[in-house]
Amino acid sequence: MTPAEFAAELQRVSAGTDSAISKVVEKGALNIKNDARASLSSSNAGKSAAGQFINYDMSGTLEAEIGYDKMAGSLGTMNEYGSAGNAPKKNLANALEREAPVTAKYAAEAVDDLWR
Amino acid sequence: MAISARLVAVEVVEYLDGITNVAAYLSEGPTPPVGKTVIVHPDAGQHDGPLGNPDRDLRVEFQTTSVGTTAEQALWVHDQVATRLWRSTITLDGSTNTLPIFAIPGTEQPVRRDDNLADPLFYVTCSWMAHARPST
Repeated sequence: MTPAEFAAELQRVSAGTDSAISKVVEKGALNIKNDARASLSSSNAGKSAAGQFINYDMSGTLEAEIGYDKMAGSLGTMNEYGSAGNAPKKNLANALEREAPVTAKYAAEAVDDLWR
Repeated sequence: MAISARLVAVEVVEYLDGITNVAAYLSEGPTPPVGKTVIVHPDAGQHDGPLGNPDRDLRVEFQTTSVGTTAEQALWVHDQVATRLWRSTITLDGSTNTLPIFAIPGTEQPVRRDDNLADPLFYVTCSWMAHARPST
C-alpha cells in the first residue's frame, strides 16, 4: 500500500466511524433501558410502574442519555438514590455497569470491521 | 479475614457515629426517620475483585444518605459526613486491610425533600468508594 493509498484508506475509515459507533451506542442505551426496566419489574408493583418512564435519547451521534422521564416525578430519583426512609435501588447505575464493557467491546469490533 | 461491602459499611457507620450531633445507621435509619442522621448503604456485588480473596485489591462502593428536618440541616449533615470521610482511612477489625475513601465524582445529588413522610424530611445522597489494599 502506498502512502497515498493509506491516506485514502484512513479517510474512508474515519468517515465511517461515527456512523458505526453511533449504532453501537444506541444499542447499548436500549440494553440499559431494558435491563433497568426488567430489574425494576422484579421490585414491588408500585415501584415497577416507574419502569415505563425509563427511556433514552441520543444526544448527538456518540452520546446517549438514559434515565427517567419527567413523568416519573420523584419516583425515579427515589428508586435510584433512595430517600430518607428508603434504600437506593440503583437500577440504572447497575444496568450501566453491566452494559458498559459489552458496548465497549462491540464499539471496538465496529471500528475493526471498517478496516476490512 | 475476607473483606466485604457490608463489613466496610459497618466500619464506616462506626466511624461516622463519632460526628457530634449526628447519628449513623447501617442500611436502614430509625422508623419513622428523624433529622440529623446519616444512613450508610453498602453496594453489594463489586466488579473488580472477588469478595473473599484477601490478596486482591478491592473497590467497595457505598452510599451515604444525609437526613435533616430542613434543607439546610440535610446539607449541614452532608458537610459533616464529607469532611469526616474525605480521604480518610479506616482499618477493618480483624483484618490488615486499610481503606482510603473518596467521593465518586458526579454522584453527589442535590438536596431533596422526602414527601412520603407525614413530617417531610430533606436528604442529600452521595456515593463513595473505598479502596481496600491488602497490606501483607
